[in-house]
Amino acid sequence: MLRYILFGAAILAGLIAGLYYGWELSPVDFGAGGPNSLRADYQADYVLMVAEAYRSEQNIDEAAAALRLFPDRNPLHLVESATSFAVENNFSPSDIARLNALHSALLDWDPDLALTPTPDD
Amino acid sequence: MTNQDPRRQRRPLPQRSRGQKVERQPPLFLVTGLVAGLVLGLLIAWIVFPARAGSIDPAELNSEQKDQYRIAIALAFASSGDLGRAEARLALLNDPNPARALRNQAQLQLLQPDGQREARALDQLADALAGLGAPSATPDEAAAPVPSGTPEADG
Repeated sequence: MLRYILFGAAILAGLIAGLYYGWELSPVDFGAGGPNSLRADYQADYVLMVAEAYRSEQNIDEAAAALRLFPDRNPLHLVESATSFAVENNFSPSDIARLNALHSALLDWDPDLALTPTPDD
Repeated sequence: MTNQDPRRQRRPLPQRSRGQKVERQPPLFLVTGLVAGLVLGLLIAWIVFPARAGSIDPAELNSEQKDQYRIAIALAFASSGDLGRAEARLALLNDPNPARALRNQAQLQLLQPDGQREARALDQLADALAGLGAPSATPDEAAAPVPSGTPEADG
């Protein structure tokens, strides 16, 4: 019985060591040098730039297109991550408001409609 | 049931001299468990739930991605009119001459079918860097400080 307990403990120790190595010491590098590898603060700042432009232009299609710099990321999730980062790192209230405005607009945004030109265009 | 092979019953125990240690087999099951756990942990960490590594600067993006980054800076500047923030952001790209990089990109952007808006914004920012004027868009908070969370141009 003791042998089984020790075997389970060894597996658990190996699992913890493997997770620590794979997540902390040597994480997978996505896209080797691509935007997805940008540091979190730069990613948040890029999303903030998009939010700043959206504030005056109110063009959600353009904003979504700009967020395609990160092709593997869902735009909505990207803005959510940036907003969380902004709150945690004490961005100014006006910046957080811009990010929230972009987030709200993306919630109502339909990507399929963005591909179809509207009659007014 | 008690009649066993006498040879087995009479197997002599190994005699130890004083100070001699009993040779034990290494606990291979522990090593096996450790290696199995390690492999499982690496599979989870690298394939099933990989952590997003974020370690590079905008300067390390390729030229196409830098162009898109520059456009985002210019459009944000056109909206906010915050030149200090735009300069700090441009410095992250490590362009030898940011104003010239903006002008060159504006020229190229004009050749794109839908590049007028971006070209105008890039030109405006280049003008502002050269001290030629502010963006035509109404600056909403031109004097707003750069947020503490905004990356600094520390290279």
